[in-house]
Amino acid sequence: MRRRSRQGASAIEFSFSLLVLVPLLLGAAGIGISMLRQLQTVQLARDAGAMFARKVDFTLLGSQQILSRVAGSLGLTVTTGSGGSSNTAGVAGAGNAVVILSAIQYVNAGVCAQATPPLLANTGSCHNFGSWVFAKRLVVGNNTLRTSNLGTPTGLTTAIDSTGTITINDQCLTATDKVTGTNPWTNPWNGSPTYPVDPNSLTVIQVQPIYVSEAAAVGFRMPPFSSGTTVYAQLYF
Amino acid sequence: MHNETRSMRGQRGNVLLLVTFSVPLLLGLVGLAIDGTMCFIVQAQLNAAIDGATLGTGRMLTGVTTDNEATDIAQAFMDANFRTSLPGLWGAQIHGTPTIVSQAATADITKSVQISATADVPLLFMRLLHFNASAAGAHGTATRRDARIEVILDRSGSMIDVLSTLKDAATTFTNDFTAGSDELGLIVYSNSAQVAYPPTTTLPYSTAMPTSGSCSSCGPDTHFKDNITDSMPNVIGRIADQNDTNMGDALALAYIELQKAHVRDLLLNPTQLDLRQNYIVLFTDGVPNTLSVYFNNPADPYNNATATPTARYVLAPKATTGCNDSARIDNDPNNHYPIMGIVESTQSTTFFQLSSLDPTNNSDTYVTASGGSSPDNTTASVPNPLSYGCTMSPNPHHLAVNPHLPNLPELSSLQSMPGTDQYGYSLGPNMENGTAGYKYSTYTGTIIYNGTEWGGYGTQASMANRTDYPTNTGNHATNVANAALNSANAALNSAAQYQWQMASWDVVDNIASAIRRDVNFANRHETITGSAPMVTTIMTVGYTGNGGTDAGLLSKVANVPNCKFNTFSCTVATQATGVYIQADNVADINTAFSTLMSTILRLSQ
Repeated sequence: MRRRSRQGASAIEFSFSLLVLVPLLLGAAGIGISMLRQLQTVQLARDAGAMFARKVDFTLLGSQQILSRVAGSLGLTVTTGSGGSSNTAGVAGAGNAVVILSAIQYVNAGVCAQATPPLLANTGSCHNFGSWVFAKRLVVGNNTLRTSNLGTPTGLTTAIDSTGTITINDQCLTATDKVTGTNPWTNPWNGSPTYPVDPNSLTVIQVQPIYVSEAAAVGFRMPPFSSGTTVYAQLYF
Repeated sequence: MHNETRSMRGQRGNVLLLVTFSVPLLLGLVGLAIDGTMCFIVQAQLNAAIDGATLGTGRMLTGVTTDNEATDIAQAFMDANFRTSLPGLWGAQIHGTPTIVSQAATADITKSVQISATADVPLLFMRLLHFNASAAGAHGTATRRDARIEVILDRSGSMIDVLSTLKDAATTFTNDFTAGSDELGLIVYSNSAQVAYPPTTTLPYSTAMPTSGSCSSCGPDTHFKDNITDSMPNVIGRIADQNDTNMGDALALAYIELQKAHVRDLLLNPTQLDLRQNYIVLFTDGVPNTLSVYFNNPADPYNNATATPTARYVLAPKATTGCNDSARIDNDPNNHYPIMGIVESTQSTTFFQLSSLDPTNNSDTYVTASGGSSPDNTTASVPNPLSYGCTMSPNPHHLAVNPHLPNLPELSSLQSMPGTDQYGYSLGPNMENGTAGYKYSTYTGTIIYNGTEWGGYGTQASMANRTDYPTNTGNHATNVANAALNSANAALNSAAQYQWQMASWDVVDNIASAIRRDVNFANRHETITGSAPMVTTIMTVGYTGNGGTDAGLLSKVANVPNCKFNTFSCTVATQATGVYIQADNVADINTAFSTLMSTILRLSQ
């Protein structure tokens, strides 16, 4: 009789302990998955940027599918194909990840001179003279997931073509093609500079585009505990 | 029983106790896992940051002048890529400053940068055990080899619809190279070729090699993006369409320009070998149909009437017109008037149009790549063969103004085809590697130059029904009659037209082979120890949207791996192998140039 009364005591005790263990394990799993997605996002931005800087054409469906495979379980869904910038096509993207590729260019006298007709190296003639502007913008994946830290070139119907390229004239003249967001090349020392050199003073940086790769993905989601905060990575090449 | 009961009672709460006591351990393990993963992610971030910094700096290595400048650039990239405020870094910071070792200011054309960095990663859980931070390290290296690139762009008439796209793609391609280190040059071609960049400062164009390292118009240079009117991007922007496709002329000029740059660089650094990688990037939308010749070239054995009275003149004797007047056009060195020009085999154009090497050429239009509606072929060379009594058509510029196709009196003024083109390259088939020349190539376009069809106009039988045939009147019977009237001329000229067409293709094949072998190496008399022939990689792009290109010929020109014509291998293993890219639509043109850029960068990094 007394033995029967002890039956299940361990189970009850264990169930109490589960109140601690389950959240602990779920939390650890959640944090682990979230960190894994962060890791994958960094890797995606790294691979996409390295390919972009080496001139891989991401307007091609095949190139976008490579990105999709690199993204793995992040869920980068290719929705367009040729001319594949969801941004330019105005197509709402799908999937749980996005890669935003930008080439930014410093508008110096040489760039102004390439306009048609050639423009003088001053803001009166070449309006964006002395500014960083977008030279190319491509978006692969779900373009509604996150916007670029650098800003978005607007006036897309005229300023950007199906390959994501922004014409020299637009780079020189269209104010909305300026890089408006967080751009370390514009204000590199607003934060905590570790090296006292303004890259804008380096001519060699002015004459070449800088390639920027941004990747974002939906984070670990387990309502109501985790809403899936977007994970993000950004790299300059 | 009693003991058992007491024992049982003593075990009550054991599970709870065990779990309670194990929670700190579990928390520790979970914390360790989380801290470890954080370190792993920061390590990945640092790796990525250094990757970006090395690649970004590596692209610019050839443009820097001091090692410190390279270090500054690398540091700027590191600061941009590894910012503590970025998500996923959890406050990790670079420990001290990254170690950056650059070899950018070296005279060597291979430059490198190495970046090493360590990041302090603040720990969350392990600090309970007084482990406040951990370290993650990464290292990256990038190397960059300077390139010398001669870009050759087709501006033939068929290019009119895609010229804008081509110019954009070529401009982007140009801008992706580093001014100050990479050397770029531009040649445009239509009925003849022109060195568009660097601009020719002294006319006419000279093939002479530089004698000074400060030579300003001596092949591809590092100033191609200077802020000048004739910078390479600006010149590309001014390219206008023109007629015909003299691909051989363009390739021959490209070889001269590459050699000029090579010699200039040797003069600049007389104790160092020139190890720069040479590339020719050739774009076309058609097939060669024109070549440049020197009709009374004394060096041409077929033209040496003095040495061998029975030898043939290239210019046919016209007893009644005096075209063979030896006092004016023969080989007398004291009275020699070089007659240079082009032969265009698919239209009834003349040979007295200017060619690239015509010593009388002094037209600015010709060298600034802005032909447009006033092309270079409106200017006749001097002396004009017509003035010697040679039979010429009355208005022999273009098909559009020549009422009788094929009316080729110019060609009938020739007794034989010269043995070589204007530059001395053979007009016969290239037998190298047993390939038996291009004539086994496969042409998939709409125009077949096989001697039985007229260039672009189909067979004689079908001419009468072609509304675009110039003599057609809209009346079928009249058309048939006109076709019959023309047939006599046609029969006489078709063979010549075919042979000229074959020659214009053969010479392209021969010149490409000569470039890859650097046939002029011995003539340059390079004395520096270790001198070797220049290695030049030829890359070709064929746009098929304007009627087709010869994929076989372009593959052979590029010496692509595994190239085959029928059963013949056309790859020469001992020469640099290149790339042929077929662009089937306008969008492919951009892709093709991007691919070439990527290919060159990949070889360089």
